[in-house]
Amino acid sequence: MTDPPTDALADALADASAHPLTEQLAAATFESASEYAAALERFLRTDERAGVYIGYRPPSLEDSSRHMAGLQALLFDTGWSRLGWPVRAGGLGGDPRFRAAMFETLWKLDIQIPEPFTTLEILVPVLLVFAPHLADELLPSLLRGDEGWAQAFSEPDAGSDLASLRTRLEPDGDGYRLTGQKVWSTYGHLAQRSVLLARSGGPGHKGLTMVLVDLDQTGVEVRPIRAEDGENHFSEIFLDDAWVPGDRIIGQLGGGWAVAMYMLQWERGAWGWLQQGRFHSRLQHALQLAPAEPSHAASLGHAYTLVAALRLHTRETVERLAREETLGPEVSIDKLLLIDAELATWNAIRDHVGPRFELDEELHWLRAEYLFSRAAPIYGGSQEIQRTLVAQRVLHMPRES
Amino acid sequence: MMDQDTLEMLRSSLRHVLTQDSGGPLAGRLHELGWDEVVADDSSTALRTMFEVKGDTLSSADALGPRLAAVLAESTGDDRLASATVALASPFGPSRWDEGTDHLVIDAMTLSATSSATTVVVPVGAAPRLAIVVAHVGLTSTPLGGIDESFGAHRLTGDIEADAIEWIDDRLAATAWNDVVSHGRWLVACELVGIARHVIAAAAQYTGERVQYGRKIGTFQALQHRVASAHSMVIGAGHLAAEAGNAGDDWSALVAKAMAGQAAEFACTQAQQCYGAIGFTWEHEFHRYLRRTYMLDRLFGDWRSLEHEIGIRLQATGVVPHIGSL
Repeated sequence: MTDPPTDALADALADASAHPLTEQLAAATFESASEYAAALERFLRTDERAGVYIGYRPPSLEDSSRHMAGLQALLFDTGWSRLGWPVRAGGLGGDPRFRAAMFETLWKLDIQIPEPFTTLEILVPVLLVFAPHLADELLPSLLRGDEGWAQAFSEPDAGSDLASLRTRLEPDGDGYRLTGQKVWSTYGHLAQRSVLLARSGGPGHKGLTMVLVDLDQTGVEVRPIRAEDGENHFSEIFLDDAWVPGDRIIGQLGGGWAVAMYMLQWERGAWGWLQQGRFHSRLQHALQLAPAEPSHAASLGHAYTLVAALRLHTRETVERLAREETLGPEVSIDKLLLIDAELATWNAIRDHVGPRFELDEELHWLRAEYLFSRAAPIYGGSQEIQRTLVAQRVLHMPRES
Repeated sequence: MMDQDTLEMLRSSLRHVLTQDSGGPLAGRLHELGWDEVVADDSSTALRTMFEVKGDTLSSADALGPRLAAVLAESTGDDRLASATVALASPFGPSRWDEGTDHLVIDAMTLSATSSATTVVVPVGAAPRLAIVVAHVGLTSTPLGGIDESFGAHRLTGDIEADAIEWIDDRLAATAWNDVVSHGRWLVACELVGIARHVIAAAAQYTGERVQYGRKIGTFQALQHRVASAHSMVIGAGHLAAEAGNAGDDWSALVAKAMAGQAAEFACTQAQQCYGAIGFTWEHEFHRYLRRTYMLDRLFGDWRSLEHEIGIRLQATGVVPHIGSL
């Protein structure tokens, strides 16, 4: 998939910035995802509305969220971000490789990925499969960024041991009431709704149900948590008899675990592809920040090698998702490769940049990303959990009886 | 492209061919297998599979030597070299031109025994000039056991007069040697991946058999995590080796070899700890895989040196390229 765009296509896209592309820009227009990527690159380089996003360095997560919302809307209105999503969800058709190619192109041009895109990768596929009625109604405004959603699984006493969560979902009239406390909800304080895992039945993973709950209602309080990097990456969500309409169940009542497991293949798979693009881009940026120092070459080479391995592995995962294969416990390998690549990348960047890394005010954003990278072995299932899954479910090492 | 069944059949045939003790030279046995057609059909998959199987079985057959010769012949356009022995630098060398005697003093390494009836290509110098020595009685080939007696490496020595030597054109030689090194890196990376997969599978199996404290030791998380961490690294190495074959360029071969070397060494380290004391003895096969890993890691650059080289190249260009496209 490396052919350049055809001349005819190039002509058709030449005045892309003048016309919304929603009609002419369909998955069928492109021979391949890389042809789409080349056309998108041309659009972003020539459309004056895109200029403010190239090389943008966010002073804070909230600022970034406001600023990048403009890009999310632009990409939706011009059709580019709608490729790779089904028509019913507000997309223009085509498989997930188009989304992967969009991320690749944004990183290539040194454009930050709007934060909600990472959430979309995880939540939209789940809604399409487990709650088609909600997908039709809500996904178009989610894709455009008119509203934001956050995932709420973990609780203060249920982190790695997710199945022990206690937030209660009780029937009430033609709906449900939620009571409990969630934590580590990414971008929770910037979201209007949350995909939330709650206990509707007895103990263990069989008593769990996934719901979509509105966060802007009485009975819900969202408090941001300041993370190691100084930014409000996640939130606590306090639920006190919060209302959930009857049609907001995702999957079956009591079937929440299956939904969460389905979600993992997207969370661990597609996320890895998106991140390898970031690592390539950040390594390249770091090279411009300081003169070459031979003593740091090995650190740089090590990082690059691990990032290249991550790229090829997650490319395969994206291709498998595009073929609609169901991914099993092997998606934990994506996360393990991601952890190694992420830590090595930021170690190499810190090595290369030298003392400016700690002291230069201009590099606040780079330090923030570095500090956030220290969460790689913790978030989304810790390194220990992933290793245990790979050992037991992939390599079939014995389990304690 | 080969389908799964064809690939499985190919693996099984190669396993047989590469581990046969008798039956003549490897080339003849491969010919009977219909190898030339397999390679013509999909050379990247065929060669990768061959070297993965070679790693897995610890085969002593010299599959690499003929490949290096084939690449050298193709790069130089000199068909005579297709059946030559390509010598590599040896730690006892270098081979050097002696100004006083006008002789080439050869001290190099070959991947199997060299007979005096063979044409030999010898690299001379750091950015090597390539000397062709046709079937010369003055060449001596002696086994180089070292850490891996079964590997088959030989030391090639000789003192050859100027008029028995033909030099490959210097510009052509630079490109050709680059091609030889890249091809070698790719195939050795595949072999290291084959070793690493074997080592991990064997260790995982052993932890399901060995019982201590009344439980299989594989139930201990400490060992599960060792094996799992090695497994993910080897998966990454496997992707890079496969992509290097498809891309066929220097950069992806360099990165693939760097990753494969560290993945194989890491796999050995983790496996050894799973085996405990028994893995430290000659009663167990493990040490043979460890020895072969060290031998192969050294060929065409050990992984730490290669990672350093990757970093130097990134620093020099300021560009961080993508390996593989969507």
